[in-house]
Amino acid sequence: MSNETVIKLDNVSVFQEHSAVVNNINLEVKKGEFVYMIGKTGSGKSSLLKTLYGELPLKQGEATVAGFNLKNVKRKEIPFLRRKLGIVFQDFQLLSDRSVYENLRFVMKATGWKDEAAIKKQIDSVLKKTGLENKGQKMPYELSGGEQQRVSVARALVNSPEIILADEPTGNLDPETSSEIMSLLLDIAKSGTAILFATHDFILYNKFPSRTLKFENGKVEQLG
Amino acid sequence: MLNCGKFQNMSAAATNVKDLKVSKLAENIIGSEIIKLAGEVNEKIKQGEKIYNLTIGDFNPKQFPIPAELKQYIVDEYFADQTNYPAADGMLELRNAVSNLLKQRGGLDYKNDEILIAGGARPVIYAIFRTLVDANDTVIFAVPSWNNNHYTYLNGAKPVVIQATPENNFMPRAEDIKPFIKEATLLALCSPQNPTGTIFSKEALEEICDMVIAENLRRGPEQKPLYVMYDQIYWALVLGENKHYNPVSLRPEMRNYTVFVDGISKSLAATGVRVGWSMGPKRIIDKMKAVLTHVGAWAPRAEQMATAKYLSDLNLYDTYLVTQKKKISDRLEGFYKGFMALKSEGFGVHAITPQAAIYLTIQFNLNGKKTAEGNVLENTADVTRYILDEAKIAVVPFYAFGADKDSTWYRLSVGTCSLEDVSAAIESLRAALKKLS
Repeated sequence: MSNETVIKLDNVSVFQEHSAVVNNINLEVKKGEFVYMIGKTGSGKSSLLKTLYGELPLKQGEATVAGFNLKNVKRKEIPFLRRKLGIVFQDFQLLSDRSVYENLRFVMKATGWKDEAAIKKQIDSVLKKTGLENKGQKMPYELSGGEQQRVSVARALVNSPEIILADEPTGNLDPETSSEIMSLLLDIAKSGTAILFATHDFILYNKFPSRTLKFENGKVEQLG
Repeated sequence: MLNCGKFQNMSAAATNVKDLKVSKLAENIIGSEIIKLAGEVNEKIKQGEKIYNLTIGDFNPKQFPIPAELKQYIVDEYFADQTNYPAADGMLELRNAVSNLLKQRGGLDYKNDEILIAGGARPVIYAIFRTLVDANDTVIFAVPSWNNNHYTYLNGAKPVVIQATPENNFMPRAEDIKPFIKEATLLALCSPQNPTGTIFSKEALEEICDMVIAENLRRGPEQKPLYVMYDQIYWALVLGENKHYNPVSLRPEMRNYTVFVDGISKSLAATGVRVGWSMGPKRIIDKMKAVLTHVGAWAPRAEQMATAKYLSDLNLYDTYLVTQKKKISDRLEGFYKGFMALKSEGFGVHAITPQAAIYLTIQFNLNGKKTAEGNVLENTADVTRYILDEAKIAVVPFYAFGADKDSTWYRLSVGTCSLEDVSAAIESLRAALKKLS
């Protein structure tokens, strides 16, 4: 694991509308680290993730994410910030009218890829990484929930992100499939991508222990 | 563990989920065309792009909130335990309030037993089709229009589709309809019209009414008459000097043949509150009530009581609408002027003067133009994509409303945009148009 810091937060407070939900977060995440965020619904995990990807403005504190200073980031720089991040949600949010391959291709086109040969090469590579080698031509409805979530992980990987932000990515999956997705994400972390993983699934976090941030009573506590 | 194994075996033996057989009706049902485009737009927004998303026929509550009083009343009604079944035809309080609203503001006289409340306009439309139209009956509607094709399909009826033209503000005319009325059961009209934001003139609607009256005289009492479904869900949002007309006020003989679609979804920007209603001849309203009873598509009881209370003070309603219409009008006028300015600068765009609702009809005449990368825009799909990719503007092509695939016209909705977005979007469009050769 390298020592390169990819997320650094100093006294960050996270706001929903006008009220702060979490105060004074200090955090440093390095390349390839896997970090759990645990806490009840409404404890501020999702709001912190949204702040990190520029969906909510940073109103208080200093934050650097993938080289972007969130305090000064301009609206038109947000797409470039997002390209350094991969985001995975609980609902897979795939385009239902097109194949796995076309889902990935759409995101790549939208993020500036032009060369079709390079696009194909990258798609083949991320499908392989996520164990979907033979699924490129499948439509989302032909896939199981676990496979669909693999596709959204593959989608998060197409721009070779420095960080993956995962918001309850196993929330819709059965325990066995959740473990498979976990193993996949841990492998991705090993290859150098930092992962922030919000969950309230304690079984998962007991089974695959890693550094953990606990969100409670408006504060973040570091465990383990 | 045993159970687990058993289920695994069962699923191995069963058909693949995607191959499960369903009814022929469900097999062939078409989802909304707009949803495909919306998926792409949302994906781009997720990637962090600033997109002017003008596709949605809805209101952004941050820009267009429902009346504060209505919001409070809804909460109050839940605390007053208005949480059990509503009356099947709607709460009497609301039917009285609607009757009064129609009398005071709509120029229409319908008693509380000639009004049916439902969960928005869609169940009303469904009930009208179910009540009036048999399988293989003919339904006439013009395109572009909203969802008539789907309701016709759900009834197993035969559609007669009229292509409305820009010369007539995309409103159908009596002479367009006339060749088909002899075999028709239902004529579906909408004014102010979704998706065009245009309205019937008095004369045009009178001509259609006279034609329907004459046809029904010809049929006589033994035959099912030709009915008109008159969707006036946007009637409170008629802008400037324009005036809303309805068949029954213009021609009282139309009363027996007209069933209205109406509600608060658009007038009070309350699309998610789900309070709509229909008014028409008592016999038809009673049958629609019977149909809807089995669907259960009622408006929630608390929302009905709150709406009744809100509508009991029409000063509140009037004041709210003045502000609301000003906000809508500023945006529509802003876009209209912007498009006409671009047109006068020589770009291949056009727009139709907005009259009502939250929509502007616009045109991109860009087929054959070449992009900076040297790609030629060959069809409407290419143009739509270019406008989305380069101008960052998302609008809905008229083919999504049943018009020809090659139609160069689009619906622009202002319900979700801020006033600042208007000029910014026009600038973004100008920059994109300049890159074409």
